[in-house]
Amino acid sequence: MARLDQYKLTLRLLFEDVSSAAGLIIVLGYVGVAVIDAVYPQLIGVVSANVEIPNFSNPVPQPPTWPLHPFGTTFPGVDLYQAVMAAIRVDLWYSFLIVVGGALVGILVGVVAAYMSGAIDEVLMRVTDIFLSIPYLPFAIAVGFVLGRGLDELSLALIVVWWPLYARYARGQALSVKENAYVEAAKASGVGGWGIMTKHIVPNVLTPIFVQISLDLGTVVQTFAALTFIGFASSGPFLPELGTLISNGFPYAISAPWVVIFPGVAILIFAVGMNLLGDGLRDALDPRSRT
Amino acid sequence: MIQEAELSASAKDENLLSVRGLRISFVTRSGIVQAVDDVSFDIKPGETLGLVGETGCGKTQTALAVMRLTSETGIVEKGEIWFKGMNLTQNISKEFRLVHRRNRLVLKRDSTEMRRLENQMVKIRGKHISMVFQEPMISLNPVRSIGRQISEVLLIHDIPRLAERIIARHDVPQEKIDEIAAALVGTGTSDDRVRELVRSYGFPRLEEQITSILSRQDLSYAKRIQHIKELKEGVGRSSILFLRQVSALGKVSSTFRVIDRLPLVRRSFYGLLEKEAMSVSAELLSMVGMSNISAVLKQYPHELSGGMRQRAMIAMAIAANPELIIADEPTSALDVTIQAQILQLLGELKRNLNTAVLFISHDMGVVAETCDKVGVIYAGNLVEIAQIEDLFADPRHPYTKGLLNAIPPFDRKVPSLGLIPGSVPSLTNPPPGCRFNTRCPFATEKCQQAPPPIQVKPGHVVRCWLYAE
Amino acid sequence: MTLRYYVVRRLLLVVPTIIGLTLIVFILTHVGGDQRFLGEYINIHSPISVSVQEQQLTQRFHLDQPVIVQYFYWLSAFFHGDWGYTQTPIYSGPVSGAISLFLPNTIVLATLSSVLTVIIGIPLGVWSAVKRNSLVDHATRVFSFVGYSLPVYWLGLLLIIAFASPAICPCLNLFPVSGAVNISLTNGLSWYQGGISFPTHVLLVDSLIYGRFDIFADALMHEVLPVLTLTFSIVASVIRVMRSSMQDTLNQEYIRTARAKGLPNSAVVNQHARRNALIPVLTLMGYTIAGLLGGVVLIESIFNLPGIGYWTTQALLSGDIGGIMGGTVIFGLAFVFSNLVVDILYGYIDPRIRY
Repeated sequence: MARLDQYKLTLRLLFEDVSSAAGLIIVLGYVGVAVIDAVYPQLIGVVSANVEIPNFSNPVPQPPTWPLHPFGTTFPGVDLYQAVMAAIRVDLWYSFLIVVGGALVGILVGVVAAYMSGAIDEVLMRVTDIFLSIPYLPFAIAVGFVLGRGLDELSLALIVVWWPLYARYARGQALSVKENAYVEAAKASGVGGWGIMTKHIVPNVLTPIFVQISLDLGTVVQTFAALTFIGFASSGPFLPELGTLISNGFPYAISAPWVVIFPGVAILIFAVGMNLLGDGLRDALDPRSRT
Repeated sequence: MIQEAELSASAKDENLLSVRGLRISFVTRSGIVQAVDDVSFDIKPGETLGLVGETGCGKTQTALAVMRLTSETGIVEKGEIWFKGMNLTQNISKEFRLVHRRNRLVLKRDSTEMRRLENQMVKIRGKHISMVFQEPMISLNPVRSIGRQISEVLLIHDIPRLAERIIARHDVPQEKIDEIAAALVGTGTSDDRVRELVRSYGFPRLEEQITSILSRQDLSYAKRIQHIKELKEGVGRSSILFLRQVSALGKVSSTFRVIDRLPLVRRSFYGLLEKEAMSVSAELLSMVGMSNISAVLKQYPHELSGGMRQRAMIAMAIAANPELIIADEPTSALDVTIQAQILQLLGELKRNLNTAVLFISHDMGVVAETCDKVGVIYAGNLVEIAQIEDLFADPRHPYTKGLLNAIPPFDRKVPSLGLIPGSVPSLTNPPPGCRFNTRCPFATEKCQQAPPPIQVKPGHVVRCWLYAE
Repeated sequence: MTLRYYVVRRLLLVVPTIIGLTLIVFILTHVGGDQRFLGEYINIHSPISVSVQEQQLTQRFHLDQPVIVQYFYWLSAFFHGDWGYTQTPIYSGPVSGAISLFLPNTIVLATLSSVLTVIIGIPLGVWSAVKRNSLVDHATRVFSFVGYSLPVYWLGLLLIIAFASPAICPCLNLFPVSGAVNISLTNGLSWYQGGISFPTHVLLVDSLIYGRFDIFADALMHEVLPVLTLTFSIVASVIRVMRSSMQDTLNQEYIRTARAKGLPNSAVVNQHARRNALIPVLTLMGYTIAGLLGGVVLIESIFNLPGIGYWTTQALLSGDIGGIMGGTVIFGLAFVFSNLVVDILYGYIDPRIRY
């Protein structure tokens, strides 16, 4: 079957299953919000996300009122709805960056290791194992601390923490692809090392990696928000980011639960959507369901 | 007509296994696949029936249906399976329902019926009907030792036998054993004479232990006699009480089952049985011609060769002395030389144990060597069934003729291999009537209707309009 | 290969892993150059002038030597228990002191959560796979899906709100939401000084030793919410993996053989399927434990439990490099050793792996 037909079959299978279709819709919704917020924020009501509202600088969180503050306000006088909408863009952007960055590095390392085998493979894998011997959250803290405590540095730290997983995974996939006959055939017809790696191995490694990426995006968003929650990014409370919002609201959580609930729900729904989509993709790409 | 739609009482009595009008269907995305349709055959005690046909023709599914091991998406839609006068398929239609869901048919099962049928089969599997599968590497549990997997069969089905063996060793006085040993020297190792001798001393369960020691090839004769003398072994008083109760009851009583859970208790009572089961497993492995038995018992499947694994599977199948063994292409995954050994082994076991065998294969040659009767299956239909010599000498159905024709003779050259033109029809939408009519050189309009079974000779039945009068 | 040989080989593998771990931590501490490194240790309020301090520190940390030598000095200090200094709001002093103070609490949290996860997760996963598409199966899948998608600290916050907020329901004020123990109970106790209990540093154990069951009960109550939150988060992935692995196992040929031997379904599931299905679960246990250790950090921060995670977070916020690195080393070591245990278990269950 041609590649295009395969993609079409994947999409069809995705939509047939209610939960993965729901996941896809949720994810698209979030992406839509992020894009709109970047381009034309007024459309979704984001006027001034994190500046103290003029004439309403009450730092204590106020409960939700309609239509002025649908999510209420949070410390220090910020409209929660606008903050969450803007934060979605920030979180999505960084999470995407982290996962794709980590995947790129990981795939490179993994495929090279699998293809070159021998000493290079050993060395690369030992390095990967060393990185994998530290659990990701504390490691991210350590790396991030060293690099600096901004959002960009945090993303870099998470990329450093995340790539070994992809390296391992990609290597495993590449190893099994390498055994396939068409690689031998390509070699026999004189295609060089890099050519084989890029044209034959990588495309076939990409499909399961793609599933892994979609599953990971949900986790990365949570991890990113978790790290900002414990206070990673120190550029003050005016940062539209979901984790920061939750940590800002933490001291007021008991008396004003909405400050914590809404940002958290935003993360939760995205994670749910992403996981549903990832699961659905994995099932759709499973050869057993495609016959 | 020999196979009637209704099973006669005499057929139920004299046959070990009777299958009538079996239809097995699978519910899939693209529709209902009729893997097997209207298959009927009988197996008498001690008889070997071969089912032969191409890959995917439904022979394995037929066998699995007898054991009720069909996969979850499969159902026995119609038909009856009788074993030793028991209806295994009673009210089987109550078990499932086909419902329409989003313009597809979906299978729904009734769990009470399922449980009832399953409970009935659990008593039969392993003990009365056992099965040998095609690929022993994946059919054996990779993380359990061979010894334990064989012992398992004994510990489920044959506990009284194990208990009685231990009791026999406990009860027999040492002098008697020495007498027996002395008497054996010089009698040679002929099984019957040995048994007579031992029996005359009045310790039945001792027989099998003595005969197995005598047949061990890895010990010298003197050593074997020595081992026999050492059979006498006493066990603790509480243990012997437990064992006698087991023997009397025919199973482990429920009280003991409860106490059994305590770790220390388990050691002393159940542990005895487990050890005994291991000894019997060793004897079984010796029966199937395994070498290096004591090592093999502790090894895992991936440490054995293909032939050894298959022998282990056969040992598992004969462990509880079943009346019927179903062998699903037991040699297809093995080299030709090993294949020959396994077939020879199966022949010996058949003779010694007098078990009936349902032998499934795609290889006519193998079937010719091992079977008394053969049935030919094509696309889920049983097209011809006859005694083995008769089928080869006088094949009637066009498909059978084509099959036999396709085997190149080894004593002369032929200009081309005999092919049957065309390919096997899709079983989701099988052609109406005789399923071979799309490829049969003799097909007529009449073949659009399913031909009834026609007896052309005693014991030889064909389903083909060519033979209707 | 026997089990013993496999265990020994696996143990040996720990050594290079620890070296790699310490190497990474070492590199991290020295990224950014010597100046930065020194900057963390220089005390501007000290009477000693900055340049003299720099000199002293350079000598002490051998910063004038090549990097490799530095690493060796660092490593030997490490093995002598000198892991540097930490200055955080909750503790100042040698890192080893901080560890002995905080580690026991973390161990309690991690252990209780792990045990609960295994007890709940594995049977649920098995049950869910055996009774496919039943109500149990669907409920379990939803349960584990939510747990998997929920940010763990957010769940903790929700629980805190639920159990402490007067707005929701005062009657639900069952479980305390902060700290490890009620201060009033521990006033004036000889064996509880400065937040540490003696002799085991684990309050739950020590309170039993001294027969103070009320303190024991109170400490236990303080653990309930944190443990529940962490467990909920971790058990989700265990259930997922167990369920899918069980499903795969039940489709294997040898399960059919087991049925053909006449084993009733319960025996097939319990004696054959479950053990084999545990194998992939163990393989993925590494990631699960990583998640557990990460979750510990978050949970301790929210519930104010004085453990390693809490200390590490404080170190992050106050810019204390000793604390960060100490925490990283501890987490790394914990991870390495728990993976070791898992691998040994794996070798015990699956004889194929011993080759």
